[in-house]
Amino acid sequence: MLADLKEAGCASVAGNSAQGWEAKLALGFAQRHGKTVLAHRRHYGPLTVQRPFYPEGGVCHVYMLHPPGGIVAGDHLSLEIDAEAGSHALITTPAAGKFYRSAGGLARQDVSITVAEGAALEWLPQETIIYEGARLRSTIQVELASGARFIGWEILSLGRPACGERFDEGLADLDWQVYCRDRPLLLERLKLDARAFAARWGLQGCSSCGTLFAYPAGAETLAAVQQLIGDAKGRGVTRMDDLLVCRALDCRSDRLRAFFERVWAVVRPGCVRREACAPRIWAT
Amino acid sequence: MVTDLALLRLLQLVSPGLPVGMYSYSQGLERAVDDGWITDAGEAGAWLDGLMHGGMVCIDLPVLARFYQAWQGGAMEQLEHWSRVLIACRETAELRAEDRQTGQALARLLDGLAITEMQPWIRKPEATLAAVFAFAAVNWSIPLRETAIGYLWSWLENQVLCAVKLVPLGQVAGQRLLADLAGNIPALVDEALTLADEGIGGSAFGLALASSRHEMQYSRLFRS
Repeated sequence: MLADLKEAGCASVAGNSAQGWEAKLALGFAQRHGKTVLAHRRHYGPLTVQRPFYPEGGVCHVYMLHPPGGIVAGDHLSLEIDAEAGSHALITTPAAGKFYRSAGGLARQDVSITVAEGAALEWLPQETIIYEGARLRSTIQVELASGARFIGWEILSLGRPACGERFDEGLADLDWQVYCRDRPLLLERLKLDARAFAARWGLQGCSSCGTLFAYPAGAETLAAVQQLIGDAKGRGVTRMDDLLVCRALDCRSDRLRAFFERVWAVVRPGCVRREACAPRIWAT
Repeated sequence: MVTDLALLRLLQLVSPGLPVGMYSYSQGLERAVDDGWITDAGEAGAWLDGLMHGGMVCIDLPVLARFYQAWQGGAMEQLEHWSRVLIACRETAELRAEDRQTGQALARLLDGLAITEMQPWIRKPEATLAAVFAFAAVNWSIPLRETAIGYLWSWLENQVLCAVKLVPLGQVAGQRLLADLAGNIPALVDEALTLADEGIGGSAFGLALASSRHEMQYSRLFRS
């Protein structure tokens, strides 16, 4: 099935590269003399990181770059992040990610995050814009050791509402898997097509949806996020076995992102034992 | 071919009168109605149809089939594995609690019917409705296909009864909805029973959102 789609896409779309970009990036964080360093980095193809910086002491902030600026059918990005014991890193992106329209081929993105005992990792990329007609399969797998800490989010913007574009065609097949000590903590496979985009059980025609994960989160963190949400529509939060999951729907992705930044500020002290220190790039 | 006795056992198992407390769970429907997402029979039908396609076919039924085969073959490791997968696929605390509570309640009932193998499942945190339901089906020689049809029917009937109370709908409108949606069950079961392991998994964003919002709903009748 996958191969068929890919061939169909390659044969019929002149604008899409016949081969597609293949890009791989592996990052390893380690704790050295009171601060977290990017201890190893391997990359292949157009996916890289800028030099890390330290706006809040020992926590390593890294901006991930994808110079082509968007992903098309046939592209395959894979990313491996490894946080060694005791390290603390925050990864974000300087701009929104993009999946462009496809004539049938599939774009792929695989992210694998491993967090060792006593390590903390924050995966906070800016939003991903999925153009109408894009076809993609994305897998994000998070493996947490005992005593590992993690905050992650995925913010999607479907179609380009500013141009009156909805998501009446295309398919975003998005897999989030969180494992703790080799056991599944949360398995979510969101398949967004025109039907799921419009339906009440899906996105209700909203162009933006987001999910934020925080582990470990106690009952008081849950209560604090519930209080932040208050009576606001389109926002929800739950906690399952110390994993907090906050979900939001909005017709504007900037508003959704601003909400998630507030949630992040609420959960961060309890979850990774740091007050919020927003990467400066978010404000630009 | 289902025997008369197996059919009767299935009818007992899927009856809304089965004392496992299903009537007290709405699976997010209560909040969806409260938020104004579902206001009439058409919207209730579209909500349930979406959940049957997106959740039941991709998660509950294929996992139910794996439980069934695991009980038949005594494959306890498979049972543990699929129990963990099923729980991890539940997207909110309330949906997980519902599955555990109804699974444990059914185990308690079966134990009361002298099916003593279910005794350890009364307190097992990994108990889910599907795991215990599959055990009962194997125990009573109900064929797999009928088991899956019965499981989906019983879920649907409970959800329609919730919609009748919450939206609210008239009794006849509720029965019409049930008749219409039940017509899709055979094809959905066909699809679910042929799904490969790697195809298992799903998510309904609106359901997950409604269910997590139900957890902080001020006044509510249902436990989910």
